[in-house]
Amino acid sequence: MGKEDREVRMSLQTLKVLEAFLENPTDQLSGAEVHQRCKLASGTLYPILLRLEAAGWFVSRWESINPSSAGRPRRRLYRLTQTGLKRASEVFASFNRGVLA
Amino acid sequence: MTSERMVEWMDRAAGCLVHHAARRTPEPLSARLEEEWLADLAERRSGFSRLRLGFGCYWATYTIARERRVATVAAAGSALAHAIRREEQGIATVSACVDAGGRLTSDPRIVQSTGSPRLDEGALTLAIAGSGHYRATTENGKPVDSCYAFRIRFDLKN
Repeated sequence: MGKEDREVRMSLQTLKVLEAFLENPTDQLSGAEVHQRCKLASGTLYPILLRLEAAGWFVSRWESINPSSAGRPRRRLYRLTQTGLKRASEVFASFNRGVLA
Repeated sequence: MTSERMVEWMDRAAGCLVHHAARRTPEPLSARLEEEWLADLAERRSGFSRLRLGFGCYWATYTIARERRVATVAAAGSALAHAIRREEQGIATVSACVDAGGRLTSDPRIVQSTGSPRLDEGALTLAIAGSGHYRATTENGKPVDSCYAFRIRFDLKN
């Protein structure tokens, strides 16, 4: 997927996902953790994560664990990029001003 | 049905749903999403929550596939827009290999060029966008993996 900064369609669900990451922008969150924070159904959550990653707002990587010794599958971890952090902050700032970006 | 058996049934159903859902997503996302969703499944505690995840993943496949198709067709449109301005035309023969489900198993390739790189690019992009919608060849009534060629005709007027 391209990593360029593309326009992202803002919806209430997308805002909820961004808000979950903006609580602590350096956090790397798995899909399950994002689900716990914003309570979105997986059918909504995963397309949003992929869309934001394709737009260059997020990057993702596999958790560096050995699944057999950890006793669970490795998670895919998402993190806000600098671009994503800047754009998400702009969206929330404009939202607070009463203008949705 | 006892509650234990009910939970066991929900676990098994959720696992099946996640596997099938991930396999329905476009390549190269399938393997990644299957592993990612199974990791998510392992963290859900209740059987009901796991089942909800399974159905959710299935729902997600439709959104992901639709968005991929829209993006691919938009990319083809960009290449074809240049071709339209130049009123290019031609027939591209594209070879595609698909599995029993009608999904591409490898990148399609141009067997016979239109003579225009833009039209060839558009033909390939459209061929990729069709993944999951190809009609697989059948043997004894059962769909099987197969390769075949088809033609895309461009007759573009500005």
